[in-house]
Amino acid sequence: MASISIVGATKRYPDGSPAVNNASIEIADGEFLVLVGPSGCGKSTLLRMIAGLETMSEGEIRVDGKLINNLHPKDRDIAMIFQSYALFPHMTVEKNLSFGFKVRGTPKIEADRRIAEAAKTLGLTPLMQRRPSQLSGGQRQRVAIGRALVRDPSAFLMDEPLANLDTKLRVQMRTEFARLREQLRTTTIYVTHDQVEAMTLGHRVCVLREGVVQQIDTPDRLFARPQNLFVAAFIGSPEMNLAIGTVDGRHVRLGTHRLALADDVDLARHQGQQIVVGIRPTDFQPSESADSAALTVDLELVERLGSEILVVFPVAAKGMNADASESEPEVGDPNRTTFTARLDGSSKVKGGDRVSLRVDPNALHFFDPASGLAIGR
Amino acid sequence: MHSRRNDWLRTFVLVVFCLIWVAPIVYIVRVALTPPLSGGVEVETALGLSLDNFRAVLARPELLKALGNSLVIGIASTIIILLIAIPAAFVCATHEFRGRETIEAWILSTRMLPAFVVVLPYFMLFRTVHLLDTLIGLIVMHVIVSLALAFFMLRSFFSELPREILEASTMEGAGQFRTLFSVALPQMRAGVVATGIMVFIFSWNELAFAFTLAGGAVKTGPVAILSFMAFQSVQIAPLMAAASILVAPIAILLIVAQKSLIRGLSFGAVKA
Repeated sequence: MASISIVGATKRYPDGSPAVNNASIEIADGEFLVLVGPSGCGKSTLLRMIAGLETMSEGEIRVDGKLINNLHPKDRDIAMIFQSYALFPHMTVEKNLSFGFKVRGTPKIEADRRIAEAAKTLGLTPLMQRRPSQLSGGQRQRVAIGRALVRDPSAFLMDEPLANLDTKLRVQMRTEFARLREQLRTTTIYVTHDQVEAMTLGHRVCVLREGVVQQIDTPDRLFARPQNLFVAAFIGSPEMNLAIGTVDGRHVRLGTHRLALADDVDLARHQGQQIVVGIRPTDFQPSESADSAALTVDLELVERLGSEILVVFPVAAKGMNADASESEPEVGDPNRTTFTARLDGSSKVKGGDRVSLRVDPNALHFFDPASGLAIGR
Repeated sequence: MHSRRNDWLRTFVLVVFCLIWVAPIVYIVRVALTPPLSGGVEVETALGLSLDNFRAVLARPELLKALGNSLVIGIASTIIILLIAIPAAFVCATHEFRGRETIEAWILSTRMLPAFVVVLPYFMLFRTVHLLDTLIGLIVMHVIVSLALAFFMLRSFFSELPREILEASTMEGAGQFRTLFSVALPQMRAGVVATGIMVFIFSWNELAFAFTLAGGAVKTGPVAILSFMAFQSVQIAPLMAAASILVAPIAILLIVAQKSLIRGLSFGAVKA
């Protein structure tokens, strides 16, 4: 087990554009850190830099204080799980698991003991004499995990290990990873583009965008207090509703609606100015009375998902594209955007209804439209 | 559309092509099997079958000796080529490094000049180092000539290997040689076999260098047949018998290794 310290890690392509730009992350001993971001954000490149499979243009990576920048991957004592599992197709499961021991010249008794142990943990014992081509996707995944954990490395690197599985199996394996995380307590860096995986697995989550670290925080804090528009929109499903509003004293005007600010919010500096208001679909509650914390809206669309209902309604305010940090040229009226709210499945609302939706003032998010940074708190 | 009619058409086209390719071989064998004739009769029109021509040719020790030389040169040069080309192709296919493309361009350039252009400088060179008319000389020459072919064939096989599998091997602690021999090569046996066969066939059939750099004390199969032709220019039937004997090992090799060869040459497109 080990702590990993990444300082100013940068990877430039031959044309000079950065794939990873000045990333600094501290990972504590035994921590499970998830790197998450859209495809092409540099998360896999950063992982491969830690593995030693990719060279660094600048920066330092330390494991337990020891600089490993120039160490060969095999000398870093780090195991990696690949998206494609990368099992050796010509070897049996047993040979796949023992390959690392053989290469390192581990005594056979010790190797056999650890392989048997890992096989038991992962339920691979009956499959030991099979080849990867005779295994199902989930079984291959287990072998890949097994190959990584038999060596008891100081850290695991996992590159989208669940991306090749079908939805049902992915949920199962996610639980399995969570179990292993608790059981092994080995420092792990886990790359995914799936924010649900990130939120459920990570002790902390690091959001990357275009090679730049956006925020590193616990899943709860990331969800409750995103530091910028990108994180706000990326984390959470359905996405956070974002629209341009105007600060009006202790209120913020959003189209025809007027929402009260929470006591701890200070937007005095932005008085009379346009800001971005964010409301998570889960923060809307049906309300009987149309008080100052409620929006009265006309439902356009109602999607029933069983335990919950997604309702879509228009708001007479300019929409916001978090990805471009500027107003999105919406189809139709530019001063109109659609919001989504998630309501309880027992709600009887239907399309065309006029309903009142309450939002807790504490659940409002505010961002500077120019910089995209969170403001007010 | 996968109708019966299409199947028939496809079979017909393939048969026609096969006939065009096989025709010369059939001709050679047919003429080789004609009985010895009295003068004035064209061998093509002769009737009956006879092994007399084969007997006559095999009774001449120099042909057998030449075939033995070809076998030794072919096997030795194939082994040496594979030993050099496998690591070289592996590195070039799986690693980015400065100057890689330049190196590959130079390797390719060795295939650009016709044999008869380079044969004279090699003749002078071999004379200086006393390799003229020796088995070793021809082995060296065939290695030089076929190395590029083997390199590029193997390079494309290696680049078909999933990169992550090689990286997994590295992460497990294996060095380059370990990764090559324990992980990469076992997955591309068909490719190595196909490359070996191509290189061997080239060496077996090669005439230009074998004729100019050797041909006195050390004759290869093709050179022996050539001298046969000059010596007995009238008797075409024994010549064809000798040619049949030269072609036979190649034909057998191709039939035996057909599966590997097709899999190898289709660059992994056909799964095992």
